[in-house]
Amino acid sequence: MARAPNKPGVVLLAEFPVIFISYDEPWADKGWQNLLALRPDAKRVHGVKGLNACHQAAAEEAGSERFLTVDADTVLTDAALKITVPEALLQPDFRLDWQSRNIVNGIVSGNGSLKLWSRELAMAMRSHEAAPDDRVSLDADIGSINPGRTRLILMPGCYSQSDPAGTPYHGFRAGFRETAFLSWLLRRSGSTSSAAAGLAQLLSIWCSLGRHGRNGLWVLYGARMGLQAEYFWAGWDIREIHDYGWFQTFWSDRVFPRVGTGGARCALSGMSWNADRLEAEVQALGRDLAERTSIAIADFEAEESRLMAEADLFPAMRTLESLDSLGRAFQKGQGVAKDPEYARQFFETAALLGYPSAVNNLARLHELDLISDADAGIAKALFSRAIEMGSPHAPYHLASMLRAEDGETVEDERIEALLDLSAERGFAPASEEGA
Amino acid sequence: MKLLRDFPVLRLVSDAGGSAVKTGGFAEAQQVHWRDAAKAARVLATAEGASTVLLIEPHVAPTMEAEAVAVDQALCDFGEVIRYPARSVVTGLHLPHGLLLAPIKALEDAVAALPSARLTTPHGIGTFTGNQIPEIAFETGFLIASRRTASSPPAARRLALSASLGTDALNGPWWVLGSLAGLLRKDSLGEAWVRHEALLSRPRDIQRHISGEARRVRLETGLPVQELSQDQSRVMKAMLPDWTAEDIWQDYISGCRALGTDGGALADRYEYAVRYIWPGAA
Repeated sequence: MARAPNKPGVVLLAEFPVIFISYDEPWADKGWQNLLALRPDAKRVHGVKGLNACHQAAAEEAGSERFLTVDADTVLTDAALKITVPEALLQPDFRLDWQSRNIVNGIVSGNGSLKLWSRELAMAMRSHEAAPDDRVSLDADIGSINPGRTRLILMPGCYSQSDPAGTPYHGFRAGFRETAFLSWLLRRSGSTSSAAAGLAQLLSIWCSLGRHGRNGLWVLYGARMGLQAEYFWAGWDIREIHDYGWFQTFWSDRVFPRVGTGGARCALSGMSWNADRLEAEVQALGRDLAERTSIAIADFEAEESRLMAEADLFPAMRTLESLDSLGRAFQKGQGVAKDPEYARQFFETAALLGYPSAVNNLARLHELDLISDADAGIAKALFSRAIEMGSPHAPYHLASMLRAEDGETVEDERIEALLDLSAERGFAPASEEGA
Repeated sequence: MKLLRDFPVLRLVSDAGGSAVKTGGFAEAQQVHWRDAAKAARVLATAEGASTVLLIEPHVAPTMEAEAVAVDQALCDFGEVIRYPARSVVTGLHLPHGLLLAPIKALEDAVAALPSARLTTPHGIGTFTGNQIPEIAFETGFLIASRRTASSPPAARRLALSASLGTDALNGPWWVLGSLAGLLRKDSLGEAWVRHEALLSRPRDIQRHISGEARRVRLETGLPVQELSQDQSRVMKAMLPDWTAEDIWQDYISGCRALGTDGGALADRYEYAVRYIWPGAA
């Protein structure tokens, strides 16, 4: 495994085998040629049905401990060849993703992301069509393979663009699958959570932006229909979004007949459609959804859509909780070698970005003397800040610190108040160990 | 570690109508006219034994969470004015108005009543109104737009968005008109207002004027401003993230590097952090 020159503990991503995965995309061969131009040694898996199956086929094709996958609708930038990865993250239980930008609506997300797998993880996966019947599996479910150990890690940076709308059918399918999935998540997230707000934003973007892009109106049509399906269709089973056979039938029997043939034409697929009827369908769905849901949906002309989609105002879709959780994994040695110094950078980043739990966890590193420059004064200051930010754990830990200090009786009232505050916020451990 | 609430604070008010916001963060802050900011700040600093004061700029409403924003020691030692930006209630975008963390020395040296900020942090701290009546909204939109430039295509689109969003807000159409006039850079504020003030008695014509001015801006500046309906503006604003835009982060990182060794360490931490949020930052 080649290390990056002059960078100990860092590996070049370009050294790993890369597998191009395609299924039925008419543009796949062009994408394959694009990848070969960057990586002449790339291999390909084509036509394997099922998202679980095709990734396991990729693992077999790679024949290596670790491998990269590139989806058919994704184009890597030249900079992707220069990505480096900390060796500490090259764990058999981790999949590393570099998110991709959707060129239709500007969203940066896991769709079409460049992925670094461990073979072990890929072969252990039971997701999508391979998930048990009693489990709804809508993504790779990396965390459920071995709970507490396996992780999906979202890496910083974006080194690819994804165009899921090479044809009207594919654009429709991409929009439908994504919003059905997001809506399913939203209905389970709790209406007041920050996750819910983020999901609602994504749905708004998928259902409103994109007209300026190739087959963008078909993406909007699919997106609006996917949202409608999850919310309002009787008998709808979200797992249908994995069944491309169902999609094909749904498209030919139910979707396309509503639009019909006409003067608009797709150069790649040769399909023609009635642009006015498509427009009417999209707008009718939009009106229906605007009336019946709280998702912000509007129709935009092409240049209005382009203005927003290309203003670089959509951040990467990642959560601070995932950063904090990764820090905890390295702090406690959960699935990785214990490394509090390495944990620190994740806590510091999430703390800098305003995540209370990370501030608390950073304080714990100082409190427990787990880092080289541990300082009790810094620990107390960080706990105080975490308390201000609403952490349920920080009051308890600060109380523990104060109680452990010798001969300090004047703090008793303060200690009790802190313990009460933690309990009010939902944290009252039975043991002294705490969390 | 210092939090913003640890600094003595003044809430600045302007001549324009209405009293300062008295809810949310720093609710008990003493109010002074912005023209008296420097003098009042010195008096307050002396009384509190402080060398730095926090100034809440006019029309800014900090959140409660703003009080708990941590201030890195490198910034405390900086010796120059630092701004924490606020988000416009009209456009939903962050503006170069908010909280000013001002060393007394910098206030003493300032030529204007309010010193310029040398650094703007990427931490948004609340909202900015500036739209209480049509004339204020027009003036605010004009002044903000007339001072901005765009150094890249995405930045140009963000600048265009800032003059396109807002028709759904109170006096938002006036803000948009003022922004468009500001982008044209042909008239002074007074001249631009004279051109449009007759619309006060013809509010139904505002949207048509916005369309005309937007077309003029596109032709004369190349900026892709759009005339958005109230519903379109509302929906676009709903898409905006809570994070400040990437260029605010990058300017801050560059500015921190100029502070010396401690600033460099601060810049490194923000550089690591920004890569997690903004895709193009890596």
